[in-house]
Amino acid sequence: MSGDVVANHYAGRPQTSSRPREPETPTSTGARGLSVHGEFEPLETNNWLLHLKYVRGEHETCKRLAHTELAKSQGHNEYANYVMGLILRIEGRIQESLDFFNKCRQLDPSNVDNVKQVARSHFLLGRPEQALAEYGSALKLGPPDWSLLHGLGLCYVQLGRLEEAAEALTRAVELGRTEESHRALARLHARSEPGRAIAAYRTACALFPSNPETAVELGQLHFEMAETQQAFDAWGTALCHDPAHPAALLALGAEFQRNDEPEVALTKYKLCAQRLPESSFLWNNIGMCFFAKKKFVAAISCLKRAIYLAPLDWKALYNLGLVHMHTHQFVSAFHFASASMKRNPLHVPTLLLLALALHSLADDTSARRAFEQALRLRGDSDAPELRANFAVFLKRIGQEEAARAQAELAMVAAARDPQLEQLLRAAFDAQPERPEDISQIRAEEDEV
Amino acid sequence: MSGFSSRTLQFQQPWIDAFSDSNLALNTLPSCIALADLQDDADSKLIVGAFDETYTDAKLKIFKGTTQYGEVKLPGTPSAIQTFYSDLNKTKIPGIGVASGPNIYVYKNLRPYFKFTVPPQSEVNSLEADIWQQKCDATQLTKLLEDLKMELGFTNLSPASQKLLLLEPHLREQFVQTRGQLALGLRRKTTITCMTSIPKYSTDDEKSISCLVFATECAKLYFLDIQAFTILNEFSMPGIASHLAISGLYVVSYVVIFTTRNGCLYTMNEKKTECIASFSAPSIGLVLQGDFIMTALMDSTLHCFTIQGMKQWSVELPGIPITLASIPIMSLSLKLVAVSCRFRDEKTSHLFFYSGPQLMHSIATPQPVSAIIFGPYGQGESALITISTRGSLNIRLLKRTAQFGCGERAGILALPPPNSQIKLNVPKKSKLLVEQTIREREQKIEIYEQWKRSWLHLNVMTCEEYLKALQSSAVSQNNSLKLTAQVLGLGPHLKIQVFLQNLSKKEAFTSLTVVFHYNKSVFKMDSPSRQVPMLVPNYECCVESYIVCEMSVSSNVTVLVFDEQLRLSAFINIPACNCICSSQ
Repeated sequence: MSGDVVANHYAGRPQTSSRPREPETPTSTGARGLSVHGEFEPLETNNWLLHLKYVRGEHETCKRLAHTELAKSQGHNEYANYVMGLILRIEGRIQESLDFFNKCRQLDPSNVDNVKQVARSHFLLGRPEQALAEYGSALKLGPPDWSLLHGLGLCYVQLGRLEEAAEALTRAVELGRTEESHRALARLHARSEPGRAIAAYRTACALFPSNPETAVELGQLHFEMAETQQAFDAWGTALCHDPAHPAALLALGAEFQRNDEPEVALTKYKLCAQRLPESSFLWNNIGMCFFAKKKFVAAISCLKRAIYLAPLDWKALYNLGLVHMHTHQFVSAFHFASASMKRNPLHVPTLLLLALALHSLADDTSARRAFEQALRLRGDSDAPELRANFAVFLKRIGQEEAARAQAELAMVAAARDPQLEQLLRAAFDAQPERPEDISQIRAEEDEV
Repeated sequence: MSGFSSRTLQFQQPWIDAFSDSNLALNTLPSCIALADLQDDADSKLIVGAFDETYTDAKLKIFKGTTQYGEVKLPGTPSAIQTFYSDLNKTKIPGIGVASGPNIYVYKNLRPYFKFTVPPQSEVNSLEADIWQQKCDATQLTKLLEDLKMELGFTNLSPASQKLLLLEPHLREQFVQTRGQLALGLRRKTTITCMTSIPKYSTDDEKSISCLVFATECAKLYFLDIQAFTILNEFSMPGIASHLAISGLYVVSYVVIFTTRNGCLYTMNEKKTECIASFSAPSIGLVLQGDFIMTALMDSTLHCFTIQGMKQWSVELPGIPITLASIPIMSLSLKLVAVSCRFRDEKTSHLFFYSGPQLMHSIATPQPVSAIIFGPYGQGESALITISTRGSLNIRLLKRTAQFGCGERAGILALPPPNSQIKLNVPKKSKLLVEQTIREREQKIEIYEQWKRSWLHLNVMTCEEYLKALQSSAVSQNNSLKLTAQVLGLGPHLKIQVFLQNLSKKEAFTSLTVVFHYNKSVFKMDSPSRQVPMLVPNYECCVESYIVCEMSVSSNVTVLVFDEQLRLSAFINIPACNCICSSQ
């Protein structure tokens, strides 16, 4: 816009200030008759008040004032309609808000903001095609604006037209340099080109360093690309700005847990639990930390809470089965493993757990079937712990030869790992009645 | 809130609660309060523009010390109040400028002194001016204006046209006749949206002569000379300003900073207008401290820019901001920004004090603070005056020994307690659990066997019941099966729902299949045949299938239901739909 000086030095003074002039007697704003100078009270007299009440969050007062304005102007006050639309949108009444924005558009079709809000409403109502068309017509009304291109980009993303989306969002970033556009672009790139996504996230982090969300998302992307160190750095940055950011804490905790540092992980989870007390993932991980510290009762309570929060989470069910196995509660272990298997029938460790539980419950036929099913799922791939367990099982039910064959296979698969060899030998020699399982089943951990 | 003892907090509190009155019911806005030494007696007074509940009437209330000192009824609702010095007289009596509608009312010594009116805009669409110039009767005029309205939009018509269109039809004739001077009525009165002042010649003396600067609803910015009440400068703005600040000296150079309603921050001088930032949420206020611009947004963020347009920092606010104000503490050479926030739970509200992005201090307030002003009040140098949303007035004085940033954070902002203090809420092991565990360990095989037996028993029972149902059902009759179908959607993606109901008392249908027969060039269907689960008596089963129209003609789909033989058939007419999905 031009900011040219329109110097308007009035030739004569409008009044001589020798005689103080009395202000007019108050006129009620409702009366809109012909004034002394022949001008009318404009409709937009109180727009500033509506705007102020809206931004200050005094929405009830604002609605009341807007209704008064609308009644006064027979619904023709554009800004009152606009503010009503904005407030209703915040209240979640999108369709009603769209009606108000449509009214605004009728009142002033040349105003880009009106068209933009109509488009946004369509987008929120899940109609990206219509929103796209509206954004298109808004772009024709004036110079390109970042928010229009940003909206356009989001519509394209919704419609799966990723290339056009990238183009629109790139232009939005160039025009507006806003955090939202940067993040939307980075998220879009993350779908197809992680390298570019990381670059985009880095720019966003550099421009808007104080937002932990961006850093968390960057960390996650690094983590998915197996760049653990960078992921750690990004999560650390996020925690600098918000020391209790739940997502960053959960991710860091999971990483510590994976590296066998349950104590450190637990301190992170404790902080996290203050802000995220109802996350099943969090309780699952806390449970497995207690498990690593051999506090089985605490582990069971935490895992049970995880299952209470997300009853169909097969990982928590599997973990609960595993912990029960360690507390020698084989019946419970069997039930949880079986529940987990119904959710994820292709998970081999669950089958192994099931087999061991069944064996402990003296149901060797079923146990054998579970073993065989597990082996079938594994195919011919290496599965040393599965084969080793199977060998011990066969030995115990008296099938010496098959057992030796499986043991041999297990040894080959584990590349003659001395520890496994020792364990196997001990199992073969000792011949205890119902010994503990020697499984090296890894606990399943979740991430954000 | 948490483990902080309130005593330590009070001890470190830098403010003295000087006065508080919750029965004043002051309904005001941050732009409508000011502090000024109204009588040049070194006793600064508080000026508040107080609205009534409906915002149609307002009063100017003056407070001196702890009492109300004067009151003036205002002729309209004030959008801004600004005090200024306009003369070189020995006794420095400031004028109070009250912007209301298109007028600025100036008061001196609490008496009306002057009224200035912003000249109306005469930019009228030429077409509209032509229409009005034609000598035609009201009906014709209305018709022509209606047409113009469709083209330009109601908002862009002149007030006279708007008025005419809103009138009852029988009043229009009279309206057109009574309006002799047609040209005058086409001008548009404007409204002042925000106002501030700039020193004219020198910044050294606080009581030097200044200029009023105000922005209007027509997106214009004016500089008003308050000695002669003439307009010095007039600028066009890129949008309607919501908040305004200015830095510099009128006769040397100045920068106008303003935010617009759609959430952009601009700087502007004589030569150019520059958009510094365009936010995704509108701004709730603007503070200028030296070269730094600070603004809080509706999305609970606080941003800082330099006057040159460089972004400095942004922080997230702990609550929803209502207003912000500058708190310059000269004795500590500290420049704070106070932000009043409320919280979603509506129970608490706080005043937060930021120095740069650092939160230095906070005060819990019983009611959300609606307006803040800091400056000399009475004899005191630094008073923090707050008016709450429910109209109570609070005056706090700064202690001479006040320190900020020594760790006196309010409880709500306290860092999370150290890790060792957090306890995870993990249930302890109960006696029952121990007993159950022991029993499970001792009698695991028995428990398991028992469960297995029950499981088998359940399976057997289910099978027996199923068999019984199969054996007792007779061969089904056509009339015992009911079919209804409906088509949902507007196209080109449609959903066909087929409802099958078994009306018989005894029999059950086992292997029913629903097949859709359709013209392949018109429709596309993913699953043209569907298995129906067993239909027990009285049960209604719904079979759904999706169909896509590929041609814009109406056609029909035949639904066939059969097991070994055809049981039922139905035709569904599908109307032509306009938009066609191109095959992907």
